[in-house]
Parts: sequence; structure tokens; C-alpha cells
Amino acid sequence: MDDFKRAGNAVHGARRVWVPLAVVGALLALTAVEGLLGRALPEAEALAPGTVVEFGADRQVSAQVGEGWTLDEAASDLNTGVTLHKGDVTVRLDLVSFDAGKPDGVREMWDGMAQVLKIEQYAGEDVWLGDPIAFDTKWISGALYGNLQVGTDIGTAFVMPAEDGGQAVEAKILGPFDADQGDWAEATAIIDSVDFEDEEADA
Amino acid sequence: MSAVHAAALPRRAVDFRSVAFWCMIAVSAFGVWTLKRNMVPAMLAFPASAALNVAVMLACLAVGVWLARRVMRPVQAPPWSGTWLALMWGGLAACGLAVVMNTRLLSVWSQVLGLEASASWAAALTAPLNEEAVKVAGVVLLAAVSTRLVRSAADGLVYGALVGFGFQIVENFTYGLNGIVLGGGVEPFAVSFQTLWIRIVLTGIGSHWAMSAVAGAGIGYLVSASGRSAARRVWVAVGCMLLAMGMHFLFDSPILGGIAGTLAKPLINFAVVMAVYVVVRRRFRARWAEVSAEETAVGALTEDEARSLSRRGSRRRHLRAFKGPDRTAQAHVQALQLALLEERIPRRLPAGAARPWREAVAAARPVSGT
Repeated sequence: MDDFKRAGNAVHGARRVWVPLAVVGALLALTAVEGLLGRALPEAEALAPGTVVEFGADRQVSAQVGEGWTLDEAASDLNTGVTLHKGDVTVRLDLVSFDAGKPDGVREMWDGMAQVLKIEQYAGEDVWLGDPIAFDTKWISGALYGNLQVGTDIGTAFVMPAEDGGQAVEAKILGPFDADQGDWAEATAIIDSVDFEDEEADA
Repeated sequence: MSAVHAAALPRRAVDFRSVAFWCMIAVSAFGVWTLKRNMVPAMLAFPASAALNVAVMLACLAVGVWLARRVMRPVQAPPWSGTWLALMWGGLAACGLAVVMNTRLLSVWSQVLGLEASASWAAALTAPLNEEAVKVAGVVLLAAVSTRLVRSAADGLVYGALVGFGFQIVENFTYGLNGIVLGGGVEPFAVSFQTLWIRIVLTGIGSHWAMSAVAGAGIGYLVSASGRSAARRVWVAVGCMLLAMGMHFLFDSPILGGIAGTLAKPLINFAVVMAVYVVVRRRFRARWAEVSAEETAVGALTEDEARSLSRRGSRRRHLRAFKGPDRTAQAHVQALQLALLEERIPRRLPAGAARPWREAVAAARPVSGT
């Protein structure tokens, strides 16, 4: 069969109409199937009370959850950060690594986070971050927190540096104004439990 | 007479009225919208890093396009119209679609495999499927934009490389900005520089351009009149696509981890694309020599012209033997001879198909003694 005629290329005649339409149709179908698959699967995994979630490239950060929390698998990547939900309250924990140059103290980390939040602002979201206040947890000292508002959600942002200053956990607790007070308290307990793996102890 | 012959020849490599052309424009417009939504807010928040990213992207574009056009196709570069269409598809349409598709599929893997396994394998299971599919679609569309753009495996290889290269530089741009977020917004300029350094200098040699060149060569072989059976052409195209996906899988997988692995994987991909390039180039040159000999026999080329025509340097040296208006006239003859031989690269063309080109060459020759 001579399927080339004078063209020297198999995509000639009527094929020049249906082949491109079929190609674009196939790409759209693939996109749609992947979207439908994601919707068909459960997004969140229920966590047992006391579960310790470890994340970071070497799973070097841990946080412990209380009762009724779920791990949002679609929005989490253990290499970089996790998203936890309970009721209307969301806790987002991100590990940031300062590979290109250590910041000059936790205040610079806070300013960096504030600048990253501006991305959402430029995307059209209403974002407001209050002034930082120093705090310590049982495991981490020299951390900062401040009030945060993203859209209609309110909450708190945290920056918790590792001891060597080479990385930090940036956390956000967000929820609607009328979210359950108990859920807010449990979210804060998760922040208090955040810890960096103690390399010296492991050695 | 010369003008009449020249007017009868098809001059445009791209048919702007084709369905494929407008499909490429429409999907690229969607890609621009997607990329704008993802990148512009970050560019506004970190303007200095954005400026660095733009400068690096333009420099890479200039160097990469020059290299692809100068090296990747034997005899002569592809037409500029096809070059820009390939870059547009890769950088805008493919990259924009991949952003949407990857977000969806990565989330599926997290839910199916669990977070621990997906942290290691999700990228390797997502990118080879989505990104190779959207990139190779560009080469198929180019083949449908005009019957003259993709007519050999060599054409498919160079357009695949250009599509992949367009994808690579826009992806580098997005990674340069995403790196700032992963670095907590601290030292954003240094973070962008570090990200670009790794992605261009350390791994760029075996990244998207190499994978798409392999897949594109298969599409070129599939659509070209190479004299092979349809079944064989389909199997070669499928094989090239699977090879490209395998290269991408290796690139993104945790196999060969560590710094040594990060450096070795691009080199392996580079070796694969070079092996494909050598095979494609050898076949193209063999066919070129064949049609060159045939056209010399019928008088469209002299033996001296045939010898000088197949390489850029020898064509320039051939022209240097002429002065003034003679050189201009000879350059015109040379361009028509190149077009004649390119026209004859596909096999199975009817005997009369090349006749207008031969007549144009004959008409363009300066008449002796005038």
C-alpha cells in the first residue's frame, strides 16, 4: 500500500485533519482520566492517636498527632511537608533547607516566609501576617510565631529553626473563625511536638 | 522563466491554514494561561530572582537553538518556522499541560502507593508518562502542520530535540522559582542560581531534549516514506517512545542515587541519544548520497556540486570560488539543489514529483558566456 502519495509524509490528505484532533483529544482524555482517578480515591488517611509523622528528605523531622486527625495524602509529600486536618482546622508543616546560604538568624527566616506568602497575595489571595513573637517548645528554642490570615481563614504561622540553623520547620494553622476551640488547641499541640532528629543521639 | 519555476515550487514549510497549526496555537495559549497563573505571582514576589531566571532562559535559548540547528540535523538546519513552532509547543503547550497533568497524577500516586513509596517513586512514575506524551505529541502535530516538515527520522530527531529543549528551559525557569519556596524565601537569588546551575550544568546534558529527540526520531521514522512496512515503522516508533520513557524513568528514579548517580544518569541518557543520532544520521547521509548520485546522473548537479552539497563547510568553500554576482547566482542554484535533494529524501515518491525542482535548478543556472 502506498500511503504516502506525493507527500513523502504519512500525515496527508484527510489525516491532516483527524490526526491533530486525535492527538489533542488523547491529551485531554489523559488529563481527564488522571483527574477522575484522583477524585475517585480517598484523599485523607485517618491517623491513630499518638501517631508520629516523620518527614523531610531523611525523615529528620517528626510531629505527633492527637485523636481524630487525618493526613491529606494528595497535599503531602514526605520529602518536603505534610498537611493534617481535623474538623475545619488545617495544620501545614513544611521543612525548608537553607542549602544556598544560611540565614542570619530566625528573623531572616521569618522575613523569607513573609515574602513567600506574598506569592499568594500576588495570586489574588487576601494574606496578612502579624509581627513575630519569640517562643520555645520542649524541643526547639528560638522559634517565632505570629498571627496569620489567608482569605477568610485565620490562624497562626510559626518558624522553628533547627539547632544548626541549616533548616527550619515552617508551620501554619488555619481555619475559619468559628472552628472548634478543642481542634485549635490540638493543632497547637502538634506544633509543640515538632522535633528535629538528634543526630548526636543517633550516633 | 526562472521566476515561473520558482513560483511553482512549494515555499512554505508551515501551512498556517492547517488544523494542526491551530491546535498547536490553542494548546500553547492554554499553556501560557497555566504557566502565568503558576509563575507570575512568584516572579512579582521575587523580582531579582525572576530577572536572573529570564536572563538564563534567554541565554540557554540562544545557545541551545544554535546547537540543535547546527548539529542535530545532517546537511542543513530545519526551517525557522518549524523551529519556533517546536520550541513554542515544548515551552508553552507541553510545559503548561504537564503542570496540570503532573499535579493530578502525583496526587493519585500518593493515594495509591502511600506517602512513603510515592516520596521515592511518584516523580519517576509520573513524568515519563505525562511529559513524554505531551512532548512527542508536538512532533506528531508538526508532521501534520505540513507534509514538508517531518519527512525522515532525522527531521523527527531534531524537532523532538527542539520540543524537549523548549520544555527544558521553561521547566528550569519554574524550578528556579519553586526552589525559592522550598528554601523558605531566604537568599532567593542564590537559591535560583544554585537550582539553575544544577539543572543546566550538571544534568542538562541528558535531560528533556535528549529524551524527546529519541521519541521524535521514532515519530519521524513512522511518518516518513522510508520504504519500510507500516508495521515496522509502528514498532520502531513505539520502541523509541518506550526508550525515551525509560530514559526519563531512570532520570527521575531513586536508582543510582547520590551525587555520582545524579551525574551518571544524564551521561547515560546522553550516550543513548548519541547512539540514536549516529544511526539516524548514517541512514540520512546514505539516502542523501543515493539521491545525490541519481541527480548527478540526470544532470541536475555536477560531480563537484554533489561533493560540496552535503556539508555546510564544503558548501561555503564551494561558493568562495565565485565572485560578485556569480556567487549570488551560485548560492541560489545551491539552495535549489539542496531543496531538490531534500525533496527526494522520502522514498516511493512518483518519478515526476521532483521534476519542478530539477527545472528550477536548470533555469537558475547562469547561462555560459553571458
